[in-house]
Amino acid sequence: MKKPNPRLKNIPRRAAMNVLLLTFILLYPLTAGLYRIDIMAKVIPLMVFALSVDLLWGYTGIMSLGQAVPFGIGAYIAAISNNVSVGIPSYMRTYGITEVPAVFRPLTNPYLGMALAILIPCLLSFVIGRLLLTGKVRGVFVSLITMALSNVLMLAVNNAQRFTGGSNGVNNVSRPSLFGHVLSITENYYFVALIAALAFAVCAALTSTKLGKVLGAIKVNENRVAFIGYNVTSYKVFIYVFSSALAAMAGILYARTCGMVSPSLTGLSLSISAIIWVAVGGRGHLTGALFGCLLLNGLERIMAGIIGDAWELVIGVILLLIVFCVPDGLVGTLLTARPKVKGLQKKEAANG
Amino acid sequence: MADAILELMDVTVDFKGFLAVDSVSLSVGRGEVRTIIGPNGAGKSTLIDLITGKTRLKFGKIVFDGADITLRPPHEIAHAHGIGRKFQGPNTFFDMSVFDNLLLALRGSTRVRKNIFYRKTGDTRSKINDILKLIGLEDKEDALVSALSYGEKQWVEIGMVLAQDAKLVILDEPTTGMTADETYKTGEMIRAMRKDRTIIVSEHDMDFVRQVAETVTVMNQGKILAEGTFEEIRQNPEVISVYLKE
Repeated sequence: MKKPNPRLKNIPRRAAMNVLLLTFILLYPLTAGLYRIDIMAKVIPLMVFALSVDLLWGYTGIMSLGQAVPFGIGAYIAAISNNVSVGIPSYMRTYGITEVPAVFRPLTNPYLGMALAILIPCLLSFVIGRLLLTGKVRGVFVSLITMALSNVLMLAVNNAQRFTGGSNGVNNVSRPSLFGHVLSITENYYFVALIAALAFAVCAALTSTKLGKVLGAIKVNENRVAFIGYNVTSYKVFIYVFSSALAAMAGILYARTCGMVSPSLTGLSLSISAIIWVAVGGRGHLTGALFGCLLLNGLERIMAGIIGDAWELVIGVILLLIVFCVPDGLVGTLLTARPKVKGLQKKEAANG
Repeated sequence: MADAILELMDVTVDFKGFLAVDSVSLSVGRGEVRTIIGPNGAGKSTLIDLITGKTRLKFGKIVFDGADITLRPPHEIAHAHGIGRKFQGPNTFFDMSVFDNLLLALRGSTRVRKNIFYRKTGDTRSKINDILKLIGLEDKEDALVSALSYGEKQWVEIGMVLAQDAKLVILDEPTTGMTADETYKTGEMIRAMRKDRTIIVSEHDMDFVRQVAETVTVMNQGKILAEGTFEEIRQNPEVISVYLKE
């Protein structure tokens, strides 16, 4: 009575969904005007951001409410670097700053700026992870502490006006340039999509390794993992730093595509939005995070035009419905739906 | 004992004034099967928590295979020193297959980088097959652990401890919730696994203790009450009064 491996059966379905998603993203520019292409190019970095949340929450069970911290820092460093590489940003000039402040001098080199936009969030996450993810602080307390970090950063960004532009943010950020040529809206769309596809491929490869299994094991039974001999803290810190790098990269793409950054990119509401995208799509499949992000952001942009702020209410209702009716998320449920086997498992669980 | 693999020297665990383990000294010989019995709350599980690093002791010293493991973290005791532990009640990764549970436990590198580039080898396959045979789950390697019976889950965990290739295996009430038949099979597994290992079993089931035990240690109220062969213990009047009569 050898049972088929349910995980193996998932693979074609997941691949089919990924192909569907990729086709949609590739063909989208053919069906839409420049304005819509630009909007979509802003959603794709958020999909990468959703991947980073899924790695941390969906695969490892760490629910960080501060994932916007690396995203926001990445976005800000990229934006400031882009500004100071061509001169003194106007917001600094209003404070009488006539030369690039010493802390920003390394950012005048765009390549170094890009590297620092990823390295600094990683370093910060490494320090926070080492202190926070030792096993002494768990579950909801990790969420609370990361939430506090998110708020602290947003306050800092809001108040350091001389350096960050305060609540106005940093403006006049140019789109990415390749070989001295600033990408057009459509080129940028495909550039962002390419990076996102690469990010997805790396995440998919990473989660299919034995390391991915260890992370899954930490999610369901952290203690047992330690008693097998794994240093749980190292694994958690690794995935925390890795997902921070991913979030920072998403932040860079977002900043360069939007042309501006504002303090809300570092705050709690973005972190929570990402958690909702992943919850709606389904945790721990990567594909679920991508779909959830695309679906809710698409809906948001359509609905906000029609019903305005009431959209927030709609999203709350959607979340409640998902949590109560399909706790595995939309894609998660599609991927794991196995009516017969599921019934069997329930029966066996009852017997056991 | 001349060749002791594990020595507890005067260890005490203090839970806010309650001495769960009270100056216990215990010596387990290399290759021995030691059974620890005692009423509920006697301190058996705490003693095991102590050896595996889950609970921190207040006084005393623990030496394993020549190394001082007092207050070392659990993952180090498990990997570097080689003490494997089966928890009370099945404690597995329930949403993974039996094979993956064993693969995770299999002795190998526990470093992050090594596990990103890890590849299964034929050797891995054959080691896991051996374990599957020993725990009698050859035909269920792809089943999710959550779909197994209670007894089978316990065996998966015994298999995980075997896969760790530990020098000392500690089994905390391995037969809880098993049928008489399953309990007997578990006893046979333990006899089969003792070849090159030292085993400590904490247990309630006296038939099972008789089946596997060489030396029996009886605990009561955090202290060691008696130690001896199964027959000696069974006839010890003190033991009878606190435990066996129940």
